[in-house]
Amino acid sequence: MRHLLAAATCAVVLLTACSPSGEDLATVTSAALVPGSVATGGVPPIVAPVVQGAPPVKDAALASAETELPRPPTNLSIGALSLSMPIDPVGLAADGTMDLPGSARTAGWYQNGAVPGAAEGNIVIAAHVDDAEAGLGPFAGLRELKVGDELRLSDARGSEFVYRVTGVEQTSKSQVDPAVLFAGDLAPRLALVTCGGTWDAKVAHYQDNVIVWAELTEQPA
Amino acid sequence: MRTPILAVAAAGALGLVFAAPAAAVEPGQAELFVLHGVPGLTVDVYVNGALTLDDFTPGTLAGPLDLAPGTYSVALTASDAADDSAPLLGPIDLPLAADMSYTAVAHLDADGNPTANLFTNDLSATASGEGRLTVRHVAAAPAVDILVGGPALISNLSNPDEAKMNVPADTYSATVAATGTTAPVIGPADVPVVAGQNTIVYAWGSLADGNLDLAVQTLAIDAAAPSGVQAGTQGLADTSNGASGATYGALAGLMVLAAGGAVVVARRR
Repeated sequence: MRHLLAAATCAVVLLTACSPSGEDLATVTSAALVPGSVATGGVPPIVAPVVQGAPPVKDAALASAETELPRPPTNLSIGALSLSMPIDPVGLAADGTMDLPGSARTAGWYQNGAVPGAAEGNIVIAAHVDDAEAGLGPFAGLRELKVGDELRLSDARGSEFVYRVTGVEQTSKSQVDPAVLFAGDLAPRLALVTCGGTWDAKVAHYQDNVIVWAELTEQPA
Repeated sequence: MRTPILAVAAAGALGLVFAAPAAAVEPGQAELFVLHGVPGLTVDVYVNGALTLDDFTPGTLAGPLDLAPGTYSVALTASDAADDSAPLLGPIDLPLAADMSYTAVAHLDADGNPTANLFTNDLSATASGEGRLTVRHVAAAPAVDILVGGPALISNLSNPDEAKMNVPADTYSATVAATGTTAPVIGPADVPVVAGQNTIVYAWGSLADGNLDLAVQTLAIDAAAPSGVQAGTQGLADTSNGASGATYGALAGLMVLAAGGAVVVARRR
């Protein structure tokens, strides 16, 4: 009876997970693994390779989670452009591109990418170059940046990370490789992204991305 | 060993201050964590007959182990055992599929007997600004409610079940109470949920023995990279006519007025 109940719960969860509104519901899942999983018999046949090496072990207490969680950037300032703008975390838009805050005055940080200070991976921060309310946004100035210009990111605790521009590019969107821009396993870099070049009114998109690449030079002690 | 080895290694090698978020599951591999939630018992953990965790203490989390997909046999023995011939718990079979993340938990069942369960960690993408909160009941205790700021966020969660939901990134003050009541058996405790992370909270220990506690595991959500960045909505920064920056600025106001009624601005949600 118990297992029947568990199976029924699982089925409900699968259905819920597929529905667009499922993410707002708390789904309860049975984790019951193998009936009678506390076995007393012999070791079953080995069907997988022996594990090599010991994994890292850490304290799972709540207090240590707080210190280990990544801290998303919450503000970007660029002295050369007299720019300071808030940053919101963003995921994917419905079409699979990076989601962005609606206002060109707010930047979006790709929330499945790296945070400032992470050991690897690109921090990608993008903003609309313009919007209907703001007109041209602060990121319209990105293409004026020069190698060596200073960028500052801060997080919710006020920790500040200083970056220096290493390159500015304007590249056709058809040539921008998302695997490079959003690389999660390369040396850490900051990429500021917006749009530029020719406006294609037919698709309501610019043809190019303007990308500013920067490297971390100073971080909180 | 209670030091976060992963964090120390990363900091040492690269001179960086903060731990990296947990790396994505290696493509084609399965990722396994092991949480020890049986109070008062230090064990050794054998995987497929090989000693994998030595002197594994309650309240600690091991992993990730990157494993080829397959079924693994896990046994827990006394910490002074010479091999896994006399397990305290198991052996149990853990079927692990490629590109999935799992946490195997040794814990007490609702009646206080040691048991083990395998949980699948949901690393599917969350909406902008949202993280995932997962709660797993692995304590010797009756069904519970999880209260956040008053009302029950999760109701009637029983050992060994889990509940999960996507919530705006924030720090939540959470209390665990027996179902239908509000008197805390655990907490209130501040639980941080970060955008793009799955915060997994385990209620473990024993109500009867007065050692209920929370353990926490956080995992980076493993979303596919965006296909691109569409970061303009108006055409005000168009450079096809060789217009200068000053020109855009002067034209911007007029063009906004002209475009305002017709353009659908991409919205966050």
